[in-house]
Amino acid sequence: MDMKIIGFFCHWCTSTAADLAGTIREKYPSSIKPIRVMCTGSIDPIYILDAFLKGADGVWIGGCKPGECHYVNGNFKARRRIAIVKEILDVLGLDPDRIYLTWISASEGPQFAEWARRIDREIKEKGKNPIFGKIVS
Amino acid sequence: MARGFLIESSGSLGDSIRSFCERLLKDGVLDVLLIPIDVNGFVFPGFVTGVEGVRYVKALSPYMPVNTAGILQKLTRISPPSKKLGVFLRPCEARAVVELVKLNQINLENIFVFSMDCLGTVDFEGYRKLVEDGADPEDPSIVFNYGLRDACKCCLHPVSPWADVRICFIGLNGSIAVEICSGKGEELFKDIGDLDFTSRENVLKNLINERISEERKLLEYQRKELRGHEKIIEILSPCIGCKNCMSVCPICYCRECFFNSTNFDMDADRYLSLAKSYGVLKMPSDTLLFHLTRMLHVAPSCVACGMCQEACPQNIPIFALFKATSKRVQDLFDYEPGRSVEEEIPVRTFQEDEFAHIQSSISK
Repeated sequence: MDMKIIGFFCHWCTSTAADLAGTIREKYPSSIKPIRVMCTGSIDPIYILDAFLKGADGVWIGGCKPGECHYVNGNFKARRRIAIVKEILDVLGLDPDRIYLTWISASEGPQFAEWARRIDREIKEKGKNPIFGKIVS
Repeated sequence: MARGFLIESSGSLGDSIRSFCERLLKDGVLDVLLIPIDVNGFVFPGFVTGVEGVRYVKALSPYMPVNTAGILQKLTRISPPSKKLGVFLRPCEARAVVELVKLNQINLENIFVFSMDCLGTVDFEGYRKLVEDGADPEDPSIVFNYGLRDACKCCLHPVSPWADVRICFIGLNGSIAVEICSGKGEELFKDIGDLDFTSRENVLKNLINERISEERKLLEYQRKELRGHEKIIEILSPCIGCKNCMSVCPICYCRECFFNSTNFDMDADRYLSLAKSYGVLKMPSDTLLFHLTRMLHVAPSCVACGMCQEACPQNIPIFALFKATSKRVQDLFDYEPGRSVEEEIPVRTFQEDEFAHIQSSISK
């Protein structure tokens, strides 16, 4: 089954790690659709929700390790926002576990590929986004 | 010990409040009041600038057409008043004011917040019936005969946790006390003494316990009935995208709403291709996204005034959803909207060491 996992990756770390994974020929699943952002702190959670409502099966946010944010504290702010999104989806029973937040630094190409495979596997186990095939809007 | 003074009784509670207002204006304690007034049988917040306007005051009427915090937001957008303005608010309005102050959307310069005790309000139809029946709207217990709004049934704040001055009547056996709660409030009045609130505290404790059990019932109902993909889509699908809930919400703080912007505008062909990938596409689109986004924005600061519910023309049980989500988010940060002006809104701050369960990294 073809899954769609939208990745929002920080330019300074996870995006570079994704690049590195390619350079060192680490394979990772094609279900991951990377979108480069300047910082996880710049991700408006509305785009996470939008991804789900438009049929994404998972959303993966990748940023710099705590304390290593290029913009000092963007990832801390992102973490709070994502905590709120997850709580709200949990209250509404909308499967918050489809959102992943990982900290992967620029040099961790192999770790990036490992995460990509793990997230792909876990989402496959969960199956398609239940919103799929329903009249939503 | 609570500090303040008792208002001399002049008949009903409503009359006492009116004579207090008259005194405020006559003695020049305040120059203008923003207070619920009678507008052709209905009640709206209105400015009262002189003693002759006081007869229109209906401060204790159990009907709340709008959340006055939104009016203060509009009022002080360009500059605060140059005259001393006393604003009489219900606890949910005062709490919304606190949140908007923290969001830099209300400037309280020259504004004095008088928070009145509130036993709850009825909806539009309920209030119309009350007036038709010829009942006295300012009798505080009358509200229970006409059915409290859902939001009021489980409101844990009959008394606002923050105000400059509180107008207290719950548990005071028919008298009204003016409690001074801030330095700003102290500036206004002389002859402040100690108030005996022992009986009031007991009455409030019982009332709040009742409300807590009502709140539990509502949350239980949400957990059982308004949860899961199927159900959420089903209950929100009648939404016509009128955005009434957004425009009446005092906390909905974006100066320009994302959903009124062109951010999500798409080419006609893009709609058609979306429709193709879904099979069908309901129009107007993005209504579910609208509600989820609003929950996300509002959750930390939602004061649960229930105005969204009153404004919904499709009777979507939106209050239950907002109450449940905001309660969870506020508990998560141990944050209570309206508690204090100093406390930071959760999304504006962070701790370095938190939420270990939502993040993962392979190597440290």
